Amino acid sequence: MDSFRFVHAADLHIDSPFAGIGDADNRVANRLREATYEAFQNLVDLCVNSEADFLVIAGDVYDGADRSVRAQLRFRDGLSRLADAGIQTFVVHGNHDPLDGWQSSISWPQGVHIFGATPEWVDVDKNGKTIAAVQGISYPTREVTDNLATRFSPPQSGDVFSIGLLHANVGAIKAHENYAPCTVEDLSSSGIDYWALGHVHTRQTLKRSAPVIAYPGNTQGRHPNETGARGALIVDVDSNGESKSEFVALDVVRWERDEVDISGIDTIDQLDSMIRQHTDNLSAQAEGRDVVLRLTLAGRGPMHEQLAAKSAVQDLLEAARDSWSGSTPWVWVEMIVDSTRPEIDMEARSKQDDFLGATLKRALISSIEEDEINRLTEIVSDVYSGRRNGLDRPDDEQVSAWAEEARWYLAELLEQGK
Amino acid sequence: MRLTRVNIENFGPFADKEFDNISGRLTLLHGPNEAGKSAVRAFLRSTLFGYVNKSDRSSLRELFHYQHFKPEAGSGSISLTTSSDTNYSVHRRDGKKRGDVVITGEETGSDELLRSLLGGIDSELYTNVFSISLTELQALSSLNSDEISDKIYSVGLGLTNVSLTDVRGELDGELRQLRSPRTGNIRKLEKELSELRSALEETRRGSDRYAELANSLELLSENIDSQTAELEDMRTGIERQKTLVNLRKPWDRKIELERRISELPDNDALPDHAHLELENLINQKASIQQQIDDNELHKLERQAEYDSAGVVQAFIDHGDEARKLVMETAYYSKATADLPGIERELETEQSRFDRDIAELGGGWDEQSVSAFETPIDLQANLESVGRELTTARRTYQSAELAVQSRTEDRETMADEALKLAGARDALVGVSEDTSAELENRRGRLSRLRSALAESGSVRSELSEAQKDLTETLAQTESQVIGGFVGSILLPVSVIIIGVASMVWSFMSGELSGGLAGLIALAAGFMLISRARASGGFKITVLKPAIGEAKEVARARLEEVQEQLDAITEEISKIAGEFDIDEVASIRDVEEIAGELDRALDLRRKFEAISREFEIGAARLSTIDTRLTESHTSLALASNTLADVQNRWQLLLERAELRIDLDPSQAANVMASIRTLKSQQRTVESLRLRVSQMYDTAGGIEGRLSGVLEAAGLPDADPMKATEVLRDLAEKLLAHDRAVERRNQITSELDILAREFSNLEHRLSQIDIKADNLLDKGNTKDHEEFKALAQQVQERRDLERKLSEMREMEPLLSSDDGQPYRDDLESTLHDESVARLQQLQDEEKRLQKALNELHEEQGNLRRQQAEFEKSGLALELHSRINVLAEKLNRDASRWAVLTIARDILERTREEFQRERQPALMQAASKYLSDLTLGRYTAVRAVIGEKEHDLEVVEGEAHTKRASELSRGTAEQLFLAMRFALIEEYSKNAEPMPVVLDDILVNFDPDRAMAACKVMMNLSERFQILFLTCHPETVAMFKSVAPSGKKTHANAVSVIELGGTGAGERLTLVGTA
Repeated sequence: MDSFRFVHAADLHIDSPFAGIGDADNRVANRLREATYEAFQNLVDLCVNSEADFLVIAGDVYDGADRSVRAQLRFRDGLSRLADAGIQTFVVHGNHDPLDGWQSSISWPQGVHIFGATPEWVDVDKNGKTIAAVQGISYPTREVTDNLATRFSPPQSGDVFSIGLLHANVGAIKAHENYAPCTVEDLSSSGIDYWALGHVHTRQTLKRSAPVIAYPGNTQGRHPNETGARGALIVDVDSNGESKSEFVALDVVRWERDEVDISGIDTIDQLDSMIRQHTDNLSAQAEGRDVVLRLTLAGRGPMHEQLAAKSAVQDLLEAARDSWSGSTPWVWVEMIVDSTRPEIDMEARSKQDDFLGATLKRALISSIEEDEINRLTEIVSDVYSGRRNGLDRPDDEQVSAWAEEARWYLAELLEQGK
Repeated sequence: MRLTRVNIENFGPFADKEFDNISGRLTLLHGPNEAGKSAVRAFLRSTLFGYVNKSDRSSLRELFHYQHFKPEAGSGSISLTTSSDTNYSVHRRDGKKRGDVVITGEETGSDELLRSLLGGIDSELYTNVFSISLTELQALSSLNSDEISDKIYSVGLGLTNVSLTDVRGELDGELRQLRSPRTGNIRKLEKELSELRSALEETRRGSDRYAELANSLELLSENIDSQTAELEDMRTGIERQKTLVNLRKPWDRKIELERRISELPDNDALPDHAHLELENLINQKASIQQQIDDNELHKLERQAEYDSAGVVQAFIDHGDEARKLVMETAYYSKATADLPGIERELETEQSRFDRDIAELGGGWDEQSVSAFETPIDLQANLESVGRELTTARRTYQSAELAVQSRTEDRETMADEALKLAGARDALVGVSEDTSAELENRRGRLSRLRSALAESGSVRSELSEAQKDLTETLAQTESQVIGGFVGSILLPVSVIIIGVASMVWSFMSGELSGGLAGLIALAAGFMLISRARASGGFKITVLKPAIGEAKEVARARLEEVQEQLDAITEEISKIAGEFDIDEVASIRDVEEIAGELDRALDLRRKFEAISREFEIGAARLSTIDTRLTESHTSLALASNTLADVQNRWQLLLERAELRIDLDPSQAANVMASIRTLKSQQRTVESLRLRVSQMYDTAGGIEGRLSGVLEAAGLPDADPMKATEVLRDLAEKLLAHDRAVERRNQITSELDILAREFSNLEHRLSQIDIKADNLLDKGNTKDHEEFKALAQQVQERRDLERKLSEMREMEPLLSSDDGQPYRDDLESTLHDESVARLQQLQDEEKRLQKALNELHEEQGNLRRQQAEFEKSGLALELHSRINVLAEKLNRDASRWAVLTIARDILERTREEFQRERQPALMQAASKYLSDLTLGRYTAVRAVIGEKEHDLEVVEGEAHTKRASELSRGTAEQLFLAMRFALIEEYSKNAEPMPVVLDDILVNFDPDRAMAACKVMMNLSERFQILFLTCHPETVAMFKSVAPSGKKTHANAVSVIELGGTGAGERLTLVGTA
């Protein structure tokens, strides 16, 4: 078996609209709009520069079923560059860009193979010799709840390294829609050497060998929950059929979440300075990339009261944004969430035999006990009925969080009169 | 505090009216309307707290301001007795500052004393709690004065920075702002969102293109659905056809298996693989036979070995003796080896003993040493008396030395004493006086010498003083004269000048000269007057000054003269002592002093020698005493020594030793004899050992000869049998091994015999099994049986395969598979394959068509989305998103606050329910009694802006005070009053309670209950109940204690007349 190298990418979501940047300035908005395109460009560069033999893309190339012409053309251009460099590309479509989505009449370059709704084996040749075989399946429509993995057929030859290309939720990962659900066992029993998966946006390896099962994550984070480096995997397969992968970051704008503890901070300018310090650090860690940051102020301290003042948090936000205005690369503080708490020793206060102590004890019970949570769910069902206003009945976790918030609210109200 | 008498001088309808029939417990003032009941209440209040005036609020004036019977200021008094039986009379007359108060009784005073008696209860509290009519009873507000509400609403919340009311207010305020029944941000947002969504729908409906797209999408969806269903059917058909194609091979195989099975024989009696079993039995039989043969061979081999084993019979017979000898080999060998050495040792010891006995001296030989025995007590006595003898000798010698030494000392001391006496007696002209007396005299002489010197000095001082006196007298006379002239001359001159000037002026007619003269005259007289004032003109007053100076000089002279006299007297006295003339000179004194000094020296020397002599004499006396003592000790020591010496010799005789031996010599002889005895024992021991060794070796050799003889072996030389014994040991070892091997062979032969028997048994078993097997095949021939069994086995294997195939492919046998089986029978394989291909082609066509439909659907959706992203729809979407976000935020905040409100309310209710003050618990008890148990508790509502009370009906149902009927509300408020009365009495003198017809709204049962409560209450608090209802009086009477006396003490009724006229009021008396 000849050794070779391929790149495994997924979830490009080209032309993704980006969520949660409502009040971003033009510079930030433009950069974000271009980010998925640029990340794809970085992917193409990676393939060329690392002299990969082929590229596999495990679904969700476009963000929406109504893929834009621009996105399709940019995608085609990128694949053309790869074709020119002699790099083949294998693509499946996922729930975001199923086969039933709109497509322009695009002519794909030589060496690009887009799998249909029926799995099939396609050989990958190098120097006139088959080095690998790829089998993939595209989503015919958005809603695929069948186990697609079972439709894959075993490799035709044991001598050739086999790759399964699939967009699916393996092991029913909760944070993702449960499309094409299957299990690690399903994939392990298939006889395929490497499962190139897509759909889950956070990089993870479900199995390290026999077979390797991996998600590379998406190439560009798109909202505050997709934090940290995003990119693709370079996979090297040696002559024994053993593979070794390495992650390479491709994102151009990095989403981050960070927390500033207000404990020990006494003044707004100290807090402002602390925020600047955090943004400086994050910018340094992003290695020249722009950063979109959701900052949470946490902890207990005297700043809590000051932050409660009207527009204090907004002012801090604007100050943080101003401090990066005109800088390259930049840090855009997308939001500052005030999760600070008053300086109350909750535990000690709850133990006292007075009205506040009794209230706090009751509040704590309300946030923990199932019966209480059910009762509170009923109490808020006037608004959270899900009937008219679109506010769905909350889950237990949400009600518990509200009860916890109520506990702190009451502590502050009864202790200090707010 | 109890009311004992009411004396109304002038108040309302009463004039000079007195009530003294007042019960310590309950007094009923009964009378018709306008009889003056309320006026009595007003009078009591006015007297205790002052008359109401125009500055008071109208409600108070309405209740307590009266037109008086007499046209003058209201006045009157009440008598009170405190709980400590102290009596007071409080008199008040209306006037300035609510009237003047005069208190008489145990103490007298005015307002201050009254306030002290009332224990801090003010008029408002009194009116709201202790003296109430329906007006106060019906209003909750009358309980809302700060002081009362503090007691009622004092549930301990422990909130320091905030009030619960404010907190609830703030929380409710924010909640209302977010959502109230009709308005609030959330409702507004919901409404706006609903409107926007309707507008979006409207926009969509209003757009032909959108409608067309929606319609097309709907049609397309239906088409996709039907095509998808068709495709699914198609896929089902393909799957069936695939199954049919796949079933072909198993089907053919099944047919083949069934055919082959039918050709093979069946025999249920035969076990599986019976031919192999028979084969196995045959093999087993052969194997066992082989084992039997091997067993026989082994038996023969072992027998031969048994016979040739080297067992010695003599060792069997004499084995124990031989082994014992072998075990004694080492002992024998050592004995024969050690014997010469021990013999040498014996010889050495013997010669040493002989030598030592010779050294001890004549008379001692081996026998006498052996016979010498000193009993232990004699030995101890020898040692003890020896020690005594040594000590006695040492004591004697020591006493002897002491006598000798002291005798020498005495002689030396006697010589020294003689020498001192000689020296003392050699001194000539020694004064009779002691040195101390001589020194005294020498001191007196020195004093005489210094007195003589002092007298010279005092004499010159005397002449000096005399000279001073003379000089002083002369100096004082001239100064007095000078002063007189100075003092008179100036004024006389001025007067003369003045007179001259006046004369000149008179003469010349010049007025100025007269004036100057007048001034000069006046000045002259003024000077005279001044001089007189200072005594300047009188010569007689100057004399005492001269006398005083002279007195001083004289006094000095007298003082010096006295000193001189004293010294002269002392000189005379001391000179007398030394027989010197009265006029002693220094030279005389020096001469006497020289004599005295010489006498003193001689006397001192004499006294020193005398002291030394006395010391020597004393020491001589002491040494004499000691010498005598030493002689006595020597005599005693001599006696003791003689005694001990005697005892020692007796002991030596007893020990048969020479009597001239001293203790150390005797000890040496004893030690030598002990050593000899020890040596003698060693020699004897060695002799015994040598003899025993010879005996032992001889014994062993004798026993060895016996054994050797029995074994047919040559005998050994005496004392040289060690090698023979070792050889015997080896032979014995070889014999033992041979015996052991023979035993082993015996047991092996036993085992072989048992194995043989076992193999024989197995052989017969195998034969039985083989016969049984052959019987099942109905044959005796092995080969025939094997052929049959092989065929049966083949059939069974085929049947199993068929069964497995059926399991693997259930369709080959199940009911579901019947259609497949029919098809397999009716169609050829190629036909099925062709049909499958046809179906798959059809599926591809359908899939392609469906893909196209999906793409079209995507296209339409995109267009629809484009519509949503453009124009009014986009704007609506954007606005909807903004509002939805806002709604989400507000709703979340609302949820937090709602939950907070719920938690707060439930805690508040818990506190309200469980932490009411003691006052409310007492009120609950009264309420329950007053309402005959219908309402079980009353609670102060906490955390609300307006004070309120709630009552608990039965177990848990609660009602606010405002929700109660009028009568029940009055019962509630009455219960509160009773509780408050109790509360206030804890820290102050209990006030009399005045109740003005408060039962009018009570139903008869509850009125009766109230009477009972009041009757009980009156045990602790005096009650004046004013009523116009005879039935109320009757009710009180009915609940009064039953005993006549008790009844009379408990209740008294004062009947008031019917009109407003004071003189017609009558006191009716007690019930």
